[in-house]
Amino acid sequence: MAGPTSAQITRIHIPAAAEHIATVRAFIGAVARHSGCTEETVEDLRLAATETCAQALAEGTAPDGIDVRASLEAGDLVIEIEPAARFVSPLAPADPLDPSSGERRRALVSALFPDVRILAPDDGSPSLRVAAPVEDAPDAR
Amino acid sequence: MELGLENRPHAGWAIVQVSGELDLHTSPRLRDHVMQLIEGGARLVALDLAKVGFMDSSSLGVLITCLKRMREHEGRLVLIGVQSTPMKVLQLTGLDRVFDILGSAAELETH
Repeated sequence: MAGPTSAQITRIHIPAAAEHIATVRAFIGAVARHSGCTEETVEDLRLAATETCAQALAEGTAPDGIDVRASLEAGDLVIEIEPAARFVSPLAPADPLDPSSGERRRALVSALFPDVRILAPDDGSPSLRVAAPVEDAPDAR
Repeated sequence: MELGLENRPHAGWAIVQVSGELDLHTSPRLRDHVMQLIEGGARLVALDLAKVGFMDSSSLGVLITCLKRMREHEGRLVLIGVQSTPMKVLQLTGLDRVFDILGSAAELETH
């Protein structure tokens, strides 16, 4: 069966507090399962979103909270998080016992989604975009 | 989801049964719990993660902190029952080679 072709956006907003990151995980999990992602992809998305939100809170880039958007685009489930952290490029920590938390989070997200796009303009809020394949999404169209 | 922390002794080890999800919000409770055990004299501590379905890198920081503190006291900290998603996090960060990871509490008797 062909994947979804029409965009459909679902979104939530959480306050800038660590206790609300679990809400993002629940949201991502529900949307990804409903969209037809494999369970491994669901967990990867939940982890990437968690790392991104945690780093945004750590860097203080989201004083007014975080927006998380999910949409179906040409067979992919696209997750966008804004403001995200100012991740710029993958950097695998040389010493696994002593990387900074930001390096570890950045390495994890990049390992999970090599095509992750992180937009970090000098004069604006950084945002993160990941796309995961959807196997079957009849209910999500 | 609430984080559950329950102690149970086994073969000379202090096993901490952890249940729930470990992240930036919940993992400090685990750190405080393990630190209390170490400060209380425990030198063989096993974290049973069989009921932990999710773990992020903030939690790894906590585990590393606990491991370093235990090593300072010449004790041992091991992980048991690590589920697939937390194991993936450990593997992607290379920490699966740093921690002693056992399949079940029964393996503590010969470890």
